[in-house]
Amino acid sequence: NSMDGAAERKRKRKSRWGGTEKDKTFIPGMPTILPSTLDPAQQEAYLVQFQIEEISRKLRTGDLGITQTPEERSPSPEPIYSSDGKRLNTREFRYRKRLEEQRHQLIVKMQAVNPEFKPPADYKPPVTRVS
Amino acid sequence: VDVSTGKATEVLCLLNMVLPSELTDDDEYDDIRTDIKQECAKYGKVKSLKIPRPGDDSIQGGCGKVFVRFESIDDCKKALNALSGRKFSGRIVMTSFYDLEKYKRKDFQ
Repeated sequence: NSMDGAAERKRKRKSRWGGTEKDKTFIPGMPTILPSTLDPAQQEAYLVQFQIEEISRKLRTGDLGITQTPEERSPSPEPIYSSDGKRLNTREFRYRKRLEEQRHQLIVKMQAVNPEFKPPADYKPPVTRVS
Repeated sequence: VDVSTGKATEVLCLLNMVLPSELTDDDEYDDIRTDIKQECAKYGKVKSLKIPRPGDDSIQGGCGKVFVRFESIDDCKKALNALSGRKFSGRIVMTSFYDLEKYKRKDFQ
């Protein structure tokens, strides 16, 4: 039975829910309860803007979402070292890079809809884009 | 009717929780369903739960969102307020009421 299978795996992995009702995350000026009266385009635009703020906050605070439970992480890639022997592709570096890429995609999306959109102050468009 | 939320219904829409790419694996999909159902059940009886996933042709749109139908509008309100601002997979959960007739028609936006 597939439900038993799901329950079995469940015990090995903690719930994806974080925090409690008393411990929530707020982004100033961006409510998390949306009016059901927004049309799909308005809702999408708000969601993208919210996600840009959310990622910016993670990058700023260094709260990159690195899980503390090693079993929940995917296998680490082969290490890459600089000429002076420092590891370049550290976990922190990889998480940060991924968030920056996600944020870049969201900003491109936002600018396509609204050319007036102002990206966050700490955002720099990637210098080289390899397609 | 609360102006800030629009008309209250018994259907809760959860946004910013899942990415379409996380829904393709059957085991992960089941896990996500269980996580969401268990948490929602704390606020009232969950009548049904829909998580549109890529490649499911029986459902129109709504991929990346989660729809939960409660037995009563009051329970849905409780869940809307309690889950909004919580984190799921590290993302901040957003909530909204969703039209019951659209939900029944599997018309997800």
